[in-house]
Amino acid sequence: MVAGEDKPDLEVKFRRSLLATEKWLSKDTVLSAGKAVTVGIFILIVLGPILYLLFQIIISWGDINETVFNDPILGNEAFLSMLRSIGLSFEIAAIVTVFDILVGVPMAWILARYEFKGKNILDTMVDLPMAVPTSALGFSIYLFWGTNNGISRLYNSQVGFASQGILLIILAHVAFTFPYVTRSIKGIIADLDLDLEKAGRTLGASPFTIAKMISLPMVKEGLLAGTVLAFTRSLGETGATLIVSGVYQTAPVVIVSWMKGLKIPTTAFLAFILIIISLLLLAAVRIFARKVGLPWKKVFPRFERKLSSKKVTRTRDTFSIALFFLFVFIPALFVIVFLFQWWGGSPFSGEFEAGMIYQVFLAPDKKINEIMTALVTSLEIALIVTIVNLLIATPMALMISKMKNKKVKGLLDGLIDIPLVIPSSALGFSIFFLWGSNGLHILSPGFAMIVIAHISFTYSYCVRPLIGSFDSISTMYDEAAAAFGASKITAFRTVTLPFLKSGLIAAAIMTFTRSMSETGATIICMGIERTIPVLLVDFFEASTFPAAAFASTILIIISFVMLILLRLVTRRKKDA
Amino acid sequence: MPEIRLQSVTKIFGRKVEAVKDLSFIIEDGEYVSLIGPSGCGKTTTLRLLAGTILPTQGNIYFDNKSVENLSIRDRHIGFVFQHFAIFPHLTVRENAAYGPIVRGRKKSEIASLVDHALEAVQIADKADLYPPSLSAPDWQKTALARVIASEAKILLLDEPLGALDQKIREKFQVFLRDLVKKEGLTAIHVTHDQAEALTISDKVAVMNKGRLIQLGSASDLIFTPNNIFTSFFVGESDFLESVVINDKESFAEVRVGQSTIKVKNMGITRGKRAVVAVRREFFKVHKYEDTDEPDNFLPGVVVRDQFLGLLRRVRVKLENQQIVEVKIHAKHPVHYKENEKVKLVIDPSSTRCFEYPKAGVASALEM
Repeated sequence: MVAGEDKPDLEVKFRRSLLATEKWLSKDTVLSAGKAVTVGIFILIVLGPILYLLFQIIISWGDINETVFNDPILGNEAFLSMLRSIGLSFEIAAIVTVFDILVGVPMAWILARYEFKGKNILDTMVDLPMAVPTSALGFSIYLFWGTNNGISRLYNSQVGFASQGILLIILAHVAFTFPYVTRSIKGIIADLDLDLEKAGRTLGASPFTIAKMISLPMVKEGLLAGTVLAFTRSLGETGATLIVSGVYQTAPVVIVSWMKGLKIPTTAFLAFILIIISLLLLAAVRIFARKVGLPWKKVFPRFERKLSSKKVTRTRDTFSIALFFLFVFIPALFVIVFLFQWWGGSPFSGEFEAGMIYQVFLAPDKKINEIMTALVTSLEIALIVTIVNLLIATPMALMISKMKNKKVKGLLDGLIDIPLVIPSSALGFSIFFLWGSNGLHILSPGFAMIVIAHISFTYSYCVRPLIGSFDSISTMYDEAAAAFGASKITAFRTVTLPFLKSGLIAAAIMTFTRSMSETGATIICMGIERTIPVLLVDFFEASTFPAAAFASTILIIISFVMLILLRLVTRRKKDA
Repeated sequence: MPEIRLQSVTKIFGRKVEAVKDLSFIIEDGEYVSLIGPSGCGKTTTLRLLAGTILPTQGNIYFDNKSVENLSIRDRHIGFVFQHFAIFPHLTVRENAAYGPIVRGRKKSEIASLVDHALEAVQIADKADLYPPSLSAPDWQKTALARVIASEAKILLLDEPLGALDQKIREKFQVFLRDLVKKEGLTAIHVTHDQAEALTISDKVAVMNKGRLIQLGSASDLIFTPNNIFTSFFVGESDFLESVVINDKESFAEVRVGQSTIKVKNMGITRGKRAVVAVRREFFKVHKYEDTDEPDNFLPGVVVRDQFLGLLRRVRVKLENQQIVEVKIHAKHPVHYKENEKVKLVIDPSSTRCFEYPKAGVASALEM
């Protein structure tokens, strides 16, 4: 015995009490309580508002019947306009999805199979429209196609190529939804067993035939998942649509505008219908994903061989990349060009007062102050939402990953996806409905309600990747830790958490980015505070384009930085 | 000091998958025991029952007369070496070794001395501050062992510990592992599918099949005096001759195989009963039929094939009763046999085993 050993030092004391606490937390009863709390929070934050909306629709059916179907003046006009908007949303989402597949699948193939200089850059470019706030994206696309600053300059026209309306909505939606298709199958294509394709070639099939008959059927589940995600995103998008839609109102935009007019019962009913549609879509995918086949079975060897010729494939690849740049990438970032065009004055008249510098920094209303306040609000919200979500999503992900009961696991796993598919304006509305004066009456629209709405719709973005991270950690590490006497929580802290680090950071970045860029739910749940995407919509509506461009550029830069961070984190994980 | 005792241990997975049935055996303090058997025989389940990652459906497990069957892995204080090592990649070799004492709340100075001793014992002190991903498989193995030694566990459970190593390194490690266990005074239980490894490394080997213990004994017991058909078949290779006992009086019994009579070890099977004679393939001698100066304890047969295997040759011989037996002879054996050549299979009675004929036939006794 060395002198002084009988007196444990501070480190040992601290470690012992930490271990004792962790041991207490690892008790079965405490863990069960923890699980109950985790599920409880999930229900409160995510399911609760939706269930409450459903409940209210049923118990106040009389009210709704009166306002929606039998208004003394308008009759069932409200219902008819609902149907019109939903029909329009569906039409647009369907067309958008077709384009998504046409652009997204070849792009996934190019990114998964070819090695070329700048592949990483292209990969990032494909993801960028998904990370950029849709209101900034919509604004940028509007500037490019819809004003005389963008494409029409090429042919010296005084008006835009397209005016606000369905065409612009489609262009905007394709930009931020096709990456869902690309992402959902890129990884699967890269992991496919190349020997199967070689085997196909030795039997005489052309590459196109092989892709059609061997490779694509294997990615069909991923493709379907990505397609549905793209479809529901298009169906539920608010921010970009508000800007490019003009008089054509899609359902989520109608929710926002009715909400502004405080038509609570009609809004509730529309939100309800949208939620039900999204849930049905989600359920259909989960049930049928494995069962559907791809529609084309027949092989046309000669034709398909022609399609596989170098000339055709090269043309196809060039064409997809060209499409991507012309219709997605350049329009999406055009706002930055616009900003420089209008930097010191109008590019047309040269008038200084019309320029960005004057509008943002010098004009008497000092827009820069508004922008900075909104930016700080956005950052605060995103930060709080990220921290809270990591705290409540990690135990949920762990629970789902470790769950042995397949049925319960499948159910929870499905419920987790709900916020992913529901239009955020409808989700925002149900949160307003539950927490606000129509429900629990705890909150009024404002900062706290925005935070809750954001936690709710970013929940899936946080839980989903974490489940993947937990699944990828071998159980042997847990067993090893246990063999040395570590309690469950100690094992989690000392072994699981270090493995999870990059997964947690990735989830945090995703959550942060989504929260920063959301528009629909925010508009509904906000009081006097503005987040920066909402401020952008305000600027747009007030026709102060250079200021809107300034705000957009800030948002694009933030999302770009986030995206790069995300890539660094996930890449490092792959290398390890 | 730990002595491990299993008493009628049964483990049923789900409703009726019996992974381990009525298993009882004793492992003495300081013994090195290997568990071998075909895939699905229950050896890994037995190891997990000992570790406490699963709990038995019935029966008792004692460490030093202390019943542990209801303790979880956390409270059994065993050392477990996993097939894929499960060393923590985010910790250095030293930190890995310190994991046990740290999570058990030991003092800093104690941890340091335990870890230093462990790293010395497995000879990895020079790489103590490196991270596992930068090391090679043998070093991972050493780290896993250092981690166990530093944890002061006296029972070491090893699940295919050398499975991930190359053959040559494996052979070196067998010696290293055995020496380490003996020096540290551990009681070790080692699951492996490699018989040679089990026979080399252990004091005793337990042969398991279909969830039951078939035989527990030393390596030479299993090779030279297996006490049942399955062990003779599974450990090494034997041919089985179906026969009837015609004389049970002498130290060597006489049995009739087809038309011939041979002497075999008398293992107490009475006259007139059917028996199965097990002969290790290496223990037959093959002679040309014309050779007359050889002992007369032989079976006549016809060569089907003489095949080169490397250091050995395999001669397949068809006996009078049409049974084909395989015999292994040295590759440099002077005579090469031609197809259809008549030969004598000479049998040394002292190296045979003679078992009662199983009711359901030989094949049923060999079922895995």
